Amino acid sequence: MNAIHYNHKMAAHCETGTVAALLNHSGLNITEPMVFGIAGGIFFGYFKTAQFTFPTFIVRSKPGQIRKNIEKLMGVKIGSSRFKDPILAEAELDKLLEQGIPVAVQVDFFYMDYLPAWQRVHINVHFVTIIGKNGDKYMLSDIYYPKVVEIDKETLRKGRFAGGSMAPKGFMFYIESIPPIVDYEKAIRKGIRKAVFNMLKIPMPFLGVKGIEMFSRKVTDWPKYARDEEHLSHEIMKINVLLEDQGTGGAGFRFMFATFLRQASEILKDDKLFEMSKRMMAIGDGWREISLHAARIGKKRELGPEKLKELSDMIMNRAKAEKDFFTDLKKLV
Amino acid sequence: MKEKEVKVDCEEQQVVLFAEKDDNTYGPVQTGSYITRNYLEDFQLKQQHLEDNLLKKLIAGEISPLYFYMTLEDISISELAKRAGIRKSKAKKHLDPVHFIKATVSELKRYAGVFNIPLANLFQVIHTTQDGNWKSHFRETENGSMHGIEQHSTTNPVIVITTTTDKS
Repeated sequence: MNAIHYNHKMAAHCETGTVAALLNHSGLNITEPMVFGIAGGIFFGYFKTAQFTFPTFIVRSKPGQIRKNIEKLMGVKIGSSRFKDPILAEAELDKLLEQGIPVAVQVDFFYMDYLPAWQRVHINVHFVTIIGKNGDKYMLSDIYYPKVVEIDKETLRKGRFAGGSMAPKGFMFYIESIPPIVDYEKAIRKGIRKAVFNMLKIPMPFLGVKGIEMFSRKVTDWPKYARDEEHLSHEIMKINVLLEDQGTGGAGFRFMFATFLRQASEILKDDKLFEMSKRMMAIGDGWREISLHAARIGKKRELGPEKLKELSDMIMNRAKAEKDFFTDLKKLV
Repeated sequence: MKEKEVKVDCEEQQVVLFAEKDDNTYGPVQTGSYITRNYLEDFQLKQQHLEDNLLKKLIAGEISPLYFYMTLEDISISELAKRAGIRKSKAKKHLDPVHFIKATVSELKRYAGVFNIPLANLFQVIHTTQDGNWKSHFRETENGSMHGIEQHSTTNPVIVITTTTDKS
């Protein structure tokens, strides 16, 4: 089978990048930040649960929500399936490929063996696009990788059927149709309202701006959860990875959200949104400082109470800035 | 953030960040990973120390192979149990070498599947070198030619063929 002619390019995040690329392939010209913003992707959550080995945080909405919200708010029709049987999952995938349809599949990131071993961790919510098949190998477009790669059928199967939290269960999706006209104004306003709700209104102490405040308060307790100094250093430096490297577009999606607001201001011809985009970019700069600070103190093993308090204060400043920002943003929609 | 401020030279890991361009527009910038560029060695050093410490405990019989791999892979016991389809309380017991030897072959096969290693590797340590450092666990998926060791699964679910090649 030949590969589908597909414009592979790197993007910031696997779900927004994959959805944007599939929409582009289907003829809808939309950017990754616009997908992110319309889907109300910006978020914050602080977690200390048995699922994780150490306290952690997330900076985006629940995996899968981007796709669902785009479908709902833009009128795009997205076909999707989950499977119990890997053989059936493979057969359905092959059938779509034969029809020339690129198919996004959910996988455990751990099995994406074209990436270096140190990058691969067990995360069940990675999305890649399958664009062809050559014998026992699938051709795969991963927006985290500069070029199209081949992956063994068996390896892909392992990735699609890994167990655990948010197990993929062979989940796949593809674009069925796009509407002739998209009401961007309505979709953008709804996306912004969703973002405001995510950050200010969810009545849980660990979500939204309250989640950032909790992160700030709790980070000074992290030494008591660490095995030793090197473990603590690793976890503190992971703050940088979670904010910058794990597909956020930088500063925990804040730079991407700023770009969305900038593009939204142009579509809606709204100068106030333009100003808000600048404010969000500045907020992102503050998160970037936190990333760099965490990496530096982790590397130098400067992990005493003073340095952690410094980190905590920087995070609390972001909470204040985002509370003000989203309160003001709410007034515009 | 300005485009020039996010630019990092790192071929090993490329990322896309959003930044302010010279013409004041905001857009994507493909660049290198800051943390990989500056701190990968530190990460690898910490991993090496962790692996060395765990190996000592493993050899001394203080921890089970399950504990060894779970800690190296940074998976919680809840997640491991869920992935293996084994009750958490039972999996927790298997972290202790005394209880690990009571695990069934079927349970061990499921654990090995989670770590993507042959079942046999739960009972042996294969020492390999990478960049001059000893590595005590060998993955089926790693490039065998670098070590001169290759492991191939067989139709028999419990048998793996390990071959070595004389690199001299």
